[in-house]
Amino acid sequence: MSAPGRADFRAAVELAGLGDLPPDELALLRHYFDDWRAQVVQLRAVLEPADEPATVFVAAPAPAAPPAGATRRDREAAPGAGR
Amino acid sequence: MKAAPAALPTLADTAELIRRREVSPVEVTTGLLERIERLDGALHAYITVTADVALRQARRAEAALAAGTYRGPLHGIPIALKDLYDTAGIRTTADSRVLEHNVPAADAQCVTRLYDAGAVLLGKLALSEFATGSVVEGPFPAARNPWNPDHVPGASSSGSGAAVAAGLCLGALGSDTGGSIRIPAAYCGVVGIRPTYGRVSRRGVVSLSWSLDTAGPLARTVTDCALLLQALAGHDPLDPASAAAPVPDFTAGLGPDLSGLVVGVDREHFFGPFVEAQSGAAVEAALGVLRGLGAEVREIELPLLDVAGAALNTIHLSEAHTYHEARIRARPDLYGPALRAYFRLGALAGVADYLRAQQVREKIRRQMLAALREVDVIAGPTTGTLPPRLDAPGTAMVDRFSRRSLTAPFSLTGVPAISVPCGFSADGLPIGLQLAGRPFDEATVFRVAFAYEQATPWHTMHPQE
Repeated sequence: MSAPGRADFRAAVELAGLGDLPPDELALLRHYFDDWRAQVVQLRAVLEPADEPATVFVAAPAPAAPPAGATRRDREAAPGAGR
Repeated sequence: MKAAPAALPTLADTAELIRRREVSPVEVTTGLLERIERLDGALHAYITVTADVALRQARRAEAALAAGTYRGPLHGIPIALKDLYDTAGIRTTADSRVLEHNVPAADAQCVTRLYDAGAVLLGKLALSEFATGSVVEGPFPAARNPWNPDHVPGASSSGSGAAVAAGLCLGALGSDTGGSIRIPAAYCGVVGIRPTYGRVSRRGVVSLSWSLDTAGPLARTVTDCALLLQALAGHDPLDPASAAAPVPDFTAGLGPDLSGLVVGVDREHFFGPFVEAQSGAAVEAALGVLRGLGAEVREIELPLLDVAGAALNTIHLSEAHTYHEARIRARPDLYGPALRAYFRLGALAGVADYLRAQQVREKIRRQMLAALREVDVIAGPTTGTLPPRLDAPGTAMVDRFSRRSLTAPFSLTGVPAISVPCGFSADGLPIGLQLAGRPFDEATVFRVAFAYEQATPWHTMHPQE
């Protein structure tokens, strides 16, 4: 999705399949969207061309492999595993 | 607003009495259950009180002592959990109608570790719906601030802050995505640490934003927090973010002298007009105390923090939407209106927005780590505001993007950060000092916080009953 499309509230809502929300819910969503878009434009401003391919966020050391004997249920119960 | 000192025993003091068998775990547990019965009707810190479980665990702890088995400083210590930690056979709601009747089959890894250390579970604590900001739309009553029940106790670990401050447990677990341990700690006049991302397992903790979510403790003193983190910290191979980092003795380096330590202060981002005058003055005074203890206070600059809020919010709303998408489409009526709209907002963010936020995050992290090579900790206020009134405008979800967060920079970069009490407003509301350190160096953060705490009277003050 191109940035201009995402920057347009109606287009973004239709793409997300949320176009049939009641008017009061759309109004609140619009309020959030406008506030957030005003913030998010700041991000592009601090990135330089050299950052684009090179900057990769690493929040923590590499995840350790599950131990021998870990079950599929154990893996699925891990945070971020769609619990 | 301030009761006499010694009204509330600390975890460490109680642990010593239990170890010497001068007080029994059953006596301590019974006393706290009575206190909850007497006080929590007005505070709503607890969603579920597990009296039967607590008394059974306390009797077991007592029997073990009688048999000569002592598991350490959490043996027989009553604690409570933010109600998003899975507890086997005990309802875990996240203050949501989605999980209102959810009874997990297994304990969260943190809960297992606390039980293994001998802790006793008093109950499950209030939070904002799905741990999101200051939303109070969930099925359970909003917790209130023990220092003044007309004010918020901070979010999202609202019950954890309130219960610790009111002496309704000896320590609690919260969780911190953008500040949800440190803000309630500051607003409630207690200590709370967000450990390094990866230090504590989040397996069995309801997710909000998985690249930010961090589990951690709140307690009335720095030592108590260190003892709790000692039990919680360690590698969990079943949490993909868990780090196999060595766990030092967090209480070993605690002492009164800060000679040789350097405290960094970024005035541009932590001391601007967005900080209320009373909070700013209290933190300035705290910096003076740190100097008096031997630390050097040095000005630093972290210009990329201008965009920390934008990066955190974009990551937060994107990951939260992904986690909730299927349920919110199927049963939107089970979410509060404000939270429902916020979680839907993530559907409007593009992949490029999310990835750009992660790229900016990494740039901020590098700048933060470079600063932390020059200084040992970074200090500032935990919050720019005093605890707002429950009915005050500006506490709602709708203002989320216009509020400046002083906790977000450390959440975003995954470094450890603590809030320790540093004073009171003229109206008797608590103020918090925030100290952040290098990744996996909670020991230094505890050291600075402890020296400050012991040099000041704030930790001896308790809310009136």
